[in-house]
Amino acid sequence: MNNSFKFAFALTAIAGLTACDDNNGNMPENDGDVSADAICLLYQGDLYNSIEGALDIIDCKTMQLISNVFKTQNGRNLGDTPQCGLTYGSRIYLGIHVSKTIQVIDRQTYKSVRQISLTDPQKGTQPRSMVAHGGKVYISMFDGYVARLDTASLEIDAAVKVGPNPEIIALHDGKLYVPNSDGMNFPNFGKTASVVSLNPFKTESTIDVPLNPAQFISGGSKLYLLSKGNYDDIPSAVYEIKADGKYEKIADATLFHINGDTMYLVNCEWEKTPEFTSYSITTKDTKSLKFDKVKSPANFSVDPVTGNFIFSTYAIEDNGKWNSSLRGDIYVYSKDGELIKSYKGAPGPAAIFFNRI
Amino acid sequence: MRKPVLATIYAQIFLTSAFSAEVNDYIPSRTVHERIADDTVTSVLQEIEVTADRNRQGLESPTPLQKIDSRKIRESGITDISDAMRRLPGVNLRDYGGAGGLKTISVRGLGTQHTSVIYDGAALSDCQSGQIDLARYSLDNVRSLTLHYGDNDDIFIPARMAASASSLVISSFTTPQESDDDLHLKGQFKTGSFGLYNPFLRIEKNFINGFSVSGNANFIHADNNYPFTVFNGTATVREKRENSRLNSLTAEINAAKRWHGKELTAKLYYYDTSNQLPGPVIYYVNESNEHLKEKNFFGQARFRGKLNSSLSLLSILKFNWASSRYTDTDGKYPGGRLDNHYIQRETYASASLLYVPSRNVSLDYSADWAWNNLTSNTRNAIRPYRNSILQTVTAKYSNGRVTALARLLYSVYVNRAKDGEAGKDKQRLSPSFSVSAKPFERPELYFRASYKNIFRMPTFNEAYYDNNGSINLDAETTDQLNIGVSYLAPPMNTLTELSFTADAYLNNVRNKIVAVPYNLFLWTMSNLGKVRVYGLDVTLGCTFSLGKSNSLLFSGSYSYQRAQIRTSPESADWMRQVAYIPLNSGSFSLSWLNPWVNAAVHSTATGPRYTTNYNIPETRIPGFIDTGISLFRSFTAGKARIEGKAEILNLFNRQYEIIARYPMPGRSWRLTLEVEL
Repeated sequence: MNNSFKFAFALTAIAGLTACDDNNGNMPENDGDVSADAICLLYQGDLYNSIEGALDIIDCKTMQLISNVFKTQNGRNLGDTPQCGLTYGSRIYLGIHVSKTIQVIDRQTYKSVRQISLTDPQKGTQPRSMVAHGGKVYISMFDGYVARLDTASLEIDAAVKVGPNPEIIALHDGKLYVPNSDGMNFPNFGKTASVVSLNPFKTESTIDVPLNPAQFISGGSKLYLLSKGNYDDIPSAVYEIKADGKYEKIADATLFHINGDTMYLVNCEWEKTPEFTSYSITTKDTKSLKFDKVKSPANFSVDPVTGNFIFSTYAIEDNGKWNSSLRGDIYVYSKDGELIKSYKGAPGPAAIFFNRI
Repeated sequence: MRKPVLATIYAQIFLTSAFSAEVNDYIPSRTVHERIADDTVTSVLQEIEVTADRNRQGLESPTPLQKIDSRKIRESGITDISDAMRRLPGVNLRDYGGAGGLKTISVRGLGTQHTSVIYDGAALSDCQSGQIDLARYSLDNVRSLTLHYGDNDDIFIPARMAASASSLVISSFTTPQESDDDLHLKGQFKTGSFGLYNPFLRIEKNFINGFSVSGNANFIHADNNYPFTVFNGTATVREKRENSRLNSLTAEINAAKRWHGKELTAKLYYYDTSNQLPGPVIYYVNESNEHLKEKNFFGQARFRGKLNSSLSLLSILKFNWASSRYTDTDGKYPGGRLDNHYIQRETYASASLLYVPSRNVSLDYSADWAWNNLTSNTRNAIRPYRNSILQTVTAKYSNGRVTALARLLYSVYVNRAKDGEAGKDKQRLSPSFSVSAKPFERPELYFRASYKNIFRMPTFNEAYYDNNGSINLDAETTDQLNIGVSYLAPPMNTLTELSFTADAYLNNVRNKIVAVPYNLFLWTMSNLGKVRVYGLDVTLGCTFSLGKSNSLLFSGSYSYQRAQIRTSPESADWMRQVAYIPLNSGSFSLSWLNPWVNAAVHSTATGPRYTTNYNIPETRIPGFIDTGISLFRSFTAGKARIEGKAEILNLFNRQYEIIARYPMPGRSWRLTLEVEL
């Protein structure tokens, strides 16, 4: 028997297994086109399965989707688990939760202006949501702070302690309303919100709110809060938070948004059938809406210019199971409820915001 | 919907690392048992190492097995137990990197919990996670490692050893290797890259009347602060692992008494580690405050001996206590800190009765009882406990040409919880059959076929872990079919030894325990999965004699593993490859033994894998080849034997990951000096 042959065979077999792998960062195709009049779709990816976050945009003129613009414009990743973004002044601010960083990019080119590393645990490190006002961006940090980013110096210049586990904040009547979810204390969720004054920048009071507060939105004269309940017998619902500290339930809902005088509500627990409603802040009239394609809503928003509805959804497998690690679809509906266009999304829909002219 | 993203991630990581495995039992050198069964005249107690034919081990076994003895460990440059395992066909190593990184194995596409690890006769158990971290066990004191694929070919074993889909048997030097009554000492010091300091000491002595005592202690300090590269788009960034220091101490005392064909051994074991966890690599931030402290104590006693000319008894008693404390400091936790402390205990007793009525036939009845519990400081701790009663009846026939073994396992598991609702109870019969035949007197060519049906109970994590566990879980069931050949060639000129094995297998997993989303934030465990694995394992071993004290040793393996998810044609993972299982993998080692400096070069290769069952392109992890070399030589100086060894690991400095985001160390070195007196 020819031993050298056998030996050579074994070596070749082993070498052949992995011969053509390289470990290069796979860059998406980049034709250099971006749009400064766009719908911005932010994805958290899936850290556990090593899927990085991404920023896609839909050009509002052509209605074409341009995927992964942060990476194509900057040659590097957005980071792990992006959570929030907004357009303010000439820039877009993106909060990257697990990467503990703020990516500041130019709103015309999407090129990086600065990356701010959140290294000080006394100012918060884990961005969760943002609002902008008076040259500052206020960022709720999941580790218990609202930090203030000065947009001139692009530095965190102050922070106040809130929490535990603040979620999506809103600016209402000159104050920041911070839902303290206490989500890491599951199932003993939080029942408070912090009220933070801007000038001076400090926590003014703590108010009682319904269980598991998740998102404040200001409706002009009125303040609304989405509280997620306990995922069991207390449902997720939107409440009006009144000045005297009392609150009133508007409707069961899992997502909501306010555009002008109208509140839009989506009520859809995991793998259930969604219900869409509009609610007039002034008249309190409700109206049922239809978005037939939207079966598994993850986020939605309303384009402030056109009134179009933008939905991001979770992927649905053929057996009806929802899946946030796969690519769901993006749907754009007109304000009259007509489907305008749909797109392929990316894993882990996190937020929708706008970069409109 | 985007809230406690982190909570979900944490829970997932915890669960998944907790995901794999169950634990079993032991066995010593297989030769001994064979002799008990096959030759009632020979003394039961001579633990004869099979050294005549390096490649003979497992040749006649009706079920596949791979054995690596201390000599092979030395000769083929094996660096640790996980390295030994990943060189074996059909073995998939999960390694989180570095000396302190969790290392577990899964065999032939079945989860880690399906492989039991048996240490000096008794199973290592972890009722909480069901998996055994192989990084805890040092190679320095290992006599042999045997991996049994499917059933154990031995008949005289505790019932628990037959209660898992595969088993890794770790046998250590528990009795003096010399028969004189001098005091023997072995001291070893190992040092290497990334702050590795590892002293090891063994002391052993024979006393009169067949009484012997040995003890060993092993301390490891490693900084593990190795550099790695982050590939970020077009940029590559060099970083270092942070928060990765390991300090661990293992100490053991063994005592043995032998008399008139009987043996009584006892062991006390203590393990204490303080391990910083660097966590996954995150873009733009490199910090972690995670810390894991683990302690493990066990004591075990084992009796084995002949009661009369045809009856032998094997009996084991064991008590195990293990503490695991995980802490993390982060403002997101209530009070800014997470501190989870778990303690588990086990009491285990086993008795096996071997009856050898004739030369060719042997029968065994084994009965095992184990009691396990878990307590913790977590909010939902309900103090679960489990009584397991396992019984086997086994028959073996062997006439030198044909070996046949049939075993029936009857399992009873009773789950209770002091402060809450317990998981389901279970009782079940699990059969296994295996046969091997040598059609001709010469050559030594054996054909084998085997079937094993077995299940694993849900681990306590799967059943009870805070909000994710499910008490409604059923057992995860496996069926394993194997056909194979093994061949040992007669010496041919310089090729003094040649052995070859090839095994094809088909495994079916039903009621596979998987995590499914209850909603985006809450995952729960469910018996949803179905997996079919078919594969091929091939090994080749050769020895070339190139003259006096000069030889070349080759050992190679190749594996093909197609692990198909078959849960539902309507799920997105239908027919996809199970996450983290490569289609192709292989290894080889080539050693040159000579009077000057012995040398070994070895490689393991793993094909690309996916981090998800959906096999989406973004989740592909590239394959890799990891190559190492080892130079070693021993001297004698008076009564002392001195051995020096130099190793380079990951010689080509390939950056690779076994688990996504957990980079493995690049090129590194190790020096070992060993003195035996």
